Amino acid sequence: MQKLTLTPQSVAEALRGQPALQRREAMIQLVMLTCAIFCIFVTVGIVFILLEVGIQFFTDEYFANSGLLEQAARELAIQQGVPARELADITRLAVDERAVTFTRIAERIPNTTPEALQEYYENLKQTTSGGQKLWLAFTNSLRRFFLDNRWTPLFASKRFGIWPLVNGTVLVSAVAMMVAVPFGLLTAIYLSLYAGRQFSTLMRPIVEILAGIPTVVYGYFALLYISPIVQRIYPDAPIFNVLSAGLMMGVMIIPTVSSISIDAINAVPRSLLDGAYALGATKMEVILRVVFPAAISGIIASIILGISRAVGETMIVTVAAGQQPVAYGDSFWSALQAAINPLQSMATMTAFIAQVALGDAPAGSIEYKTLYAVGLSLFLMTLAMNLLSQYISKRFREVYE
Amino acid sequence: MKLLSSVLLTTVLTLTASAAFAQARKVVVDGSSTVAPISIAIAEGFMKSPQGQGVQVSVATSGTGGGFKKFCAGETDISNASRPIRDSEIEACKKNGINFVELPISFDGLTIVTNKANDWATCLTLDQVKKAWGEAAEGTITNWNQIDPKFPNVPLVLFGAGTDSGTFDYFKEVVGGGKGDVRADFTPSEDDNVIVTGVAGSRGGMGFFGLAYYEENMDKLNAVAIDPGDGCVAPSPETVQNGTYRPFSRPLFIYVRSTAIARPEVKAFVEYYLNDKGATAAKVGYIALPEQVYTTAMNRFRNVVTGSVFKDLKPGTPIGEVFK
Repeated sequence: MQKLTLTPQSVAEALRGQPALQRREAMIQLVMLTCAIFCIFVTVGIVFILLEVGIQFFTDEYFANSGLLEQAARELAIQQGVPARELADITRLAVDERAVTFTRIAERIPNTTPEALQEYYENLKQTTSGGQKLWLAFTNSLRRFFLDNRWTPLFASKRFGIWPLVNGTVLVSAVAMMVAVPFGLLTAIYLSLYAGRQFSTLMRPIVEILAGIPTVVYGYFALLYISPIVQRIYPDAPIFNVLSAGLMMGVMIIPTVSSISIDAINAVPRSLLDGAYALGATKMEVILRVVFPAAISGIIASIILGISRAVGETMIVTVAAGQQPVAYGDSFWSALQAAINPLQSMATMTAFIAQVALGDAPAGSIEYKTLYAVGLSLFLMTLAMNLLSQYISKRFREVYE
Repeated sequence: MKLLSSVLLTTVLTLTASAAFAQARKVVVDGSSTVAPISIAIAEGFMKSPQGQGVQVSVATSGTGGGFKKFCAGETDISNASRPIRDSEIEACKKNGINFVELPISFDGLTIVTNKANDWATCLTLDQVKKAWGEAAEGTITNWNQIDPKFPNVPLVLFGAGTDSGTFDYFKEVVGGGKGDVRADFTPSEDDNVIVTGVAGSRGGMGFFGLAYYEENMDKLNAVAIDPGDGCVAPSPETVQNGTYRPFSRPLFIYVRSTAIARPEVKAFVEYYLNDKGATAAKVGYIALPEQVYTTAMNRFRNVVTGSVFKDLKPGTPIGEVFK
């Protein structure tokens, strides 16, 4: 029998003159190509839709109108000689087109009835061109999205400040990482450097089972088992709170951190460790001075991947963290306290999306478009995190022969 | 983009179309979670009765507002509502050529509930309720002792019906006096069980929903008596019926699409509903209406009298005056 060396050339040669085989190879290649194209197509499509409706949100007529009303209120107030320092307080009231809003603004401007304000506003609306309105909508929506501090798009007086949701997401993720990083990292170090081979091969899959538990189960576990424990320590904590959701999420993320860290640690060449031992280093010294610096890029990547999971996690926070966007008080201290207190209910970005998607915001309404605006912000956050993780793994990678 | 969405759409349509062929005699009900317990109990009775053999009645809970959105898009046959239909919703229905018959089916007392450990707020005046829930309280009233200095220092944790629900709208009408809003920093949920879990699990919890949910969860929650200015009255079927529980008592409705009445299963279901004369409603914790109201409603239904007579009803109107 002829001996065959497998190189691309030899394969092509072997196939020559066998059209059936060639066709089959081409077919398999085509299937694979289709799969790859399908994946890319779907990803690009989702991002595209996210961007499309997200942009619709930021150019919605709703914001153009409130911008015009603001302009009307300012102009009328100036005409009536309202002092400049009060102007901001008045224009801040111009949020929508409800009759209440007109009444509230008119009350603050002398000699002005709500009807007069409305008329002035309608006039302004008539005389403003489409392009100007678009620009107004864009600037006004961006300002209200990034500079307001309340998130209440489902209520009658809508406010669109994204920060309370970002605050919720960041706080839950922070609590989660406080659990996941130490537990994940120490588990990884123990399993790869201390534990015997048999124990390690047994333990690793067991730790990874954690990653296979459905997140809704984690959510109810947090609500039914962790919350009561938290409440035993802090009796005034509500049953839906950030702390229990965060702790549970941390447990969920442990395998993400540990298994990537284990791989990173195992990738450190044996010769490096042996060299260090040969110089008389203790085990702890080897771990801290040799293994850790060599594996740091993988470890950081695992942590950032963990943060990405925490930021995108939905079920646990929907079930256990409450669905209440945090409200900051009037003073700086009460705001700071509200921002970092994990013993309260908080809505995260994902929980808000789940909440709206479960109810019914009619397609095309401003509530519906907020979904995409929040989704887009979330996407940009995780994208930034992934890019950072790639950069860090490249930047800190130690290459050994 | 267009191509992608059409591909997705076709997949979804094929899936739903195959499901649509399977259903034959179906009555689709959606809307208020407050009315749902009645409609579900009625549906169960109906499907067991001879008229209801082989009919499938599905009852979903999107909230009154959410229910009307679907109803006016022609997606549902019957809409449960814990408040009368609004002018804007009538407009939306008209735009899609949908007419409806409005049928009052029972009375409810919107109930404010607190945690079992709460022994201080057994009765709240209407002003205290407004103080705790009004929009001025947002971010500032965060402790029970801010509602009344006599109350202990316990953080206030608020839960309530979702913003799409009639219960929320009704509560807003009373608290805001028709003009103001409800504070937005509470946990809103269309699922009343979330409110039960939240209030029962938080010492400083306070929430609100229909009387039936309280009656069902009496062992886990306290109901707060309301003092509108002339003494505390606790919510119960009796106090709602005799009109002393004010101003949170309200009528509940179902709205039937007029074109759906031609379908025998819808007609049979609604007739079964009205012939029940509130007995089932009373069984699940609500208050039956005076008998002649059901007779009038049956006449309106049989003659397919469309339009709303209750849309300008003022919140807090006692039962005796609603059906004069």
